[in-house]
Amino acid sequence: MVGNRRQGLVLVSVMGLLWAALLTVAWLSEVFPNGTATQAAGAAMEGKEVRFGIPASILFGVSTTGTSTGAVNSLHDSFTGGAGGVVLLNMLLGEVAPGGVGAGLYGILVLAVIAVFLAGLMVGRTPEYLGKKLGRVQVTAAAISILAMPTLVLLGAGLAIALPSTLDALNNSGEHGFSEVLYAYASAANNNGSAFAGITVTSDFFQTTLGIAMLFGRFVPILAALALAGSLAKQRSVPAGAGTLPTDGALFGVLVGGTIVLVAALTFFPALALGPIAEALS
Amino acid sequence: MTTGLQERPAAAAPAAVGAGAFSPRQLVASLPDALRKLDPRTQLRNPVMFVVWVGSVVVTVFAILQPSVFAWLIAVWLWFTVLFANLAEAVAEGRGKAQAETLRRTKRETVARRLGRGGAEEQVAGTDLKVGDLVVVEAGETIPGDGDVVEGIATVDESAITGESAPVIREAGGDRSAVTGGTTVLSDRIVVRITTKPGETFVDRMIALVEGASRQKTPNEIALTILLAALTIIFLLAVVAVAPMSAYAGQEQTLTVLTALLVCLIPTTIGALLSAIGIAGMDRLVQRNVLATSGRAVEAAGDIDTLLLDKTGTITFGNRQATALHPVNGVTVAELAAAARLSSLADQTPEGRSIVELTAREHGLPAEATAAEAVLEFVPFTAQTRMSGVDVEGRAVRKGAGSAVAGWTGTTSREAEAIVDEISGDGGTPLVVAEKGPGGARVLGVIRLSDVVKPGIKERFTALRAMGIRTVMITGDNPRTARVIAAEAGVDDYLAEATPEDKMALIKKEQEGGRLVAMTGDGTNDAPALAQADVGVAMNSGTSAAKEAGNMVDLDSDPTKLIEIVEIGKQLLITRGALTTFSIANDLAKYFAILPAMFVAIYPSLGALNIMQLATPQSAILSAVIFNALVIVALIPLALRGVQYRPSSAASLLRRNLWIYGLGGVVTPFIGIFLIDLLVRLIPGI
Repeated sequence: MVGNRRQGLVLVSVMGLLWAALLTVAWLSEVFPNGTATQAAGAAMEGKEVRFGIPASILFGVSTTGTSTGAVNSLHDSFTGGAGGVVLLNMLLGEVAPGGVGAGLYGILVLAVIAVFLAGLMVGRTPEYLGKKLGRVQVTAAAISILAMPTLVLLGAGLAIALPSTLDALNNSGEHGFSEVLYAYASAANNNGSAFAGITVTSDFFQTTLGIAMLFGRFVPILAALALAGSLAKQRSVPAGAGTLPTDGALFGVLVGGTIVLVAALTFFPALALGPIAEALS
Repeated sequence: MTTGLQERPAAAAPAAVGAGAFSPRQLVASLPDALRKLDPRTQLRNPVMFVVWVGSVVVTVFAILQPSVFAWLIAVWLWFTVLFANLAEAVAEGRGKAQAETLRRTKRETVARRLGRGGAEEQVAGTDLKVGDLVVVEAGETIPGDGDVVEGIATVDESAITGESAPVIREAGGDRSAVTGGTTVLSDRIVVRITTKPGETFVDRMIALVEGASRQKTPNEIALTILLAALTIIFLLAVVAVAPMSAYAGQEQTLTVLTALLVCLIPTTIGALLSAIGIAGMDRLVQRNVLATSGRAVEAAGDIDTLLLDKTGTITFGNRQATALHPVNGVTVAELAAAARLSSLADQTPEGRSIVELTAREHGLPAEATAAEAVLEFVPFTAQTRMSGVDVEGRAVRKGAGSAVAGWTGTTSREAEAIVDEISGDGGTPLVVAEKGPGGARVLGVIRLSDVVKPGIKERFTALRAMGIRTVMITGDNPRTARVIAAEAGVDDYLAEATPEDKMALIKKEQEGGRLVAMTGDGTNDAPALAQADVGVAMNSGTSAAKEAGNMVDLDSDPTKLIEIVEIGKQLLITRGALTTFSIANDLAKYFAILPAMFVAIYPSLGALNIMQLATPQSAILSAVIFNALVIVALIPLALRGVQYRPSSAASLLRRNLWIYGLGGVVTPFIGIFLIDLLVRLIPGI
């Protein structure tokens, strides 16, 4: 539609690099585990099928959380702290590496819009992406789109963990138990559908809140993305020149990557610190 | 060729609107204003800083209820954060106020001599004038309001408005008829028709603008505020959620700590400086004697794709200059040069002076009249003779248009006529030089006057091209002349034999292609095009209609300034983007400071995240809060001055600024927080 292959190539590269980076961290975490028992066993094979082994399990884990398929070939609950954190983070980024089945690439497109808006001013023009000006309407739509999921995950997990009844639903205590709760809401709000396992969510509270997370986590970003697309489609295209922000090079890739890390990932840094990060560092 | 806005001498700013550079004294002077801005109703306009304000109140209450050194220090520094943000805005506004004060002095009470029906004069107060009133102004009197001269011609001192002390001529009809209230008539008598209501005059609008009273948020500023508000909400949620999560993990976080985390994470740096950046951008225009009627126009200036530039005065000098001598009839060049110089010695027109300069530069003749020459009898140019020259010792030398000189000499020279035709064809102006002596009359040669492209203008166009801006030269010349000058000046395109309608059509065509167009103009017939252009800069010397139609007025009436206006617009946007990027990149370090401090008691392993080796949890949190507040003060000069800007392509600008403000934004707080912690750890109780 844009008629420029390079524009897409940049986004694909960002997706690919993120996926590869997450995969590497997860793999390292699994191969060099920090638990006494797993170290004694030589590798973190608990919860994994022997015929897949660590590489195939991790590959599947990182890919399934990046694509919202919901399928698993190993128990994410049994991953080491690092690898568990990676699959969790992969969802919390908001389906960008590479994007959910059915939802497509709007996740990274919205983040690209945010990146253009934040840093695009640095070339001395009001922000424009793919020949379209980004003004008040576009920024509002993009902001709603990126606000929805963190709101649901943070409020949901925060509320759940505050309730005494939650403690009974958990298989594990401490940081790992918290990861289980966080994963449940992250998976629901990102229309992922995979389960960390280790948490029993049959209570009315979980059924209701996870249902709400699923409903709004799926449709609010979609509606916002459609509104954004509509407002952009109505605009006349501005021809690109030497003065326009180049969005088809490595530099822009760095920019989008930076935005994903600083805006999307850092939101969950405190939550992740209390769960997988604390577990991985212990 | 000046490359950066920074290097340009500030001396260009005249006394009337001159503002000093940023100094620490301004911070102190603006403190009362900053304190006044602590009013929550003022804070509410800025969502990011309002959150900090609420946080400061919460922490202060908490500190009163459960006093501790730590809680009080956090409270104090949160208030400092709010105060510093107010200070930034107050300093920016303060510079405008000083300028407004100077302007207000010109607005003293005037008594107008209103012409009644039948020509009778009556004395009324300047503030009682209505639109359409006719007033008489004579030498020594102050013009009571904005208007157009409808009768007479006068020299006017406009230094109160423009800072330019040389008087200007204002006359009825034509494009030099507009006069501004508050300026003084130096000679003669004029009748002025008042065109603006008292209180809405140019000076009034100028005062409102520089004071920031009529300041409204620009479209991009609004959009950025929305995004910053969204980020604030996200971080608010993140912090709210941390409370139960941390409680579950085994430690309840105090409100003081949670508020400190929140304030450090939300984009306070850009939130605090955003309005100051906007005000300072307007201020930079005012310092260059350009008045924008809206901030929107300044923003649009940064987006300009096509510049329409008038040839005369912008690309070439306003007057033609002598560039070559062509002797005829066997006359030597030296002979012609001597005669040309002699005939122009007393000629004070720019053309005449340029001839003397040419003969001095290229033929080694004296540049000034010698003592013997000074007493010669000069024949000035008149509309009848269309020649000027000198009579000396029975010999008469004249220069003028070909036909006039032919009539004077009574002879024709085919050689001279050929050269005259050739020069005219190239767009130059030929002046024929002839002499009458005892031996009869003879044509000596032809002086070529041509448009001279301003030095450095070609480099500027190259820089503009690098920025992605196309330049189009507008001229009334024929296409052949236009092409020669366009090639010499290095513009991208030209519009020859341009009429106002052609200009309008060109603007519309560019805009249909999605491009933004900027132009300058002064005549009434420029008004529609000025209104149609995205940035229309009217010359102050122009008509009221032109000034009404444009969205900027250049008080110096210098069309070249359009280029500077575009640069200022770009600089404003870059400053905004750079500080936003810096602000958000700062978060990484703050997380690494605060999170381990908050959770290390629960999970000692998280101490590994304390990569800055901050002394204690309290010192880490306090250092982050102090850094967050101090960085605002540190960046006030940058916000007011604007970031360094060199015209170059978007790709290289992005690369450069991403390095400085993106990477700098990640690294600086790590160093800053570490250094502050070295001091903070010395405080007892921390």
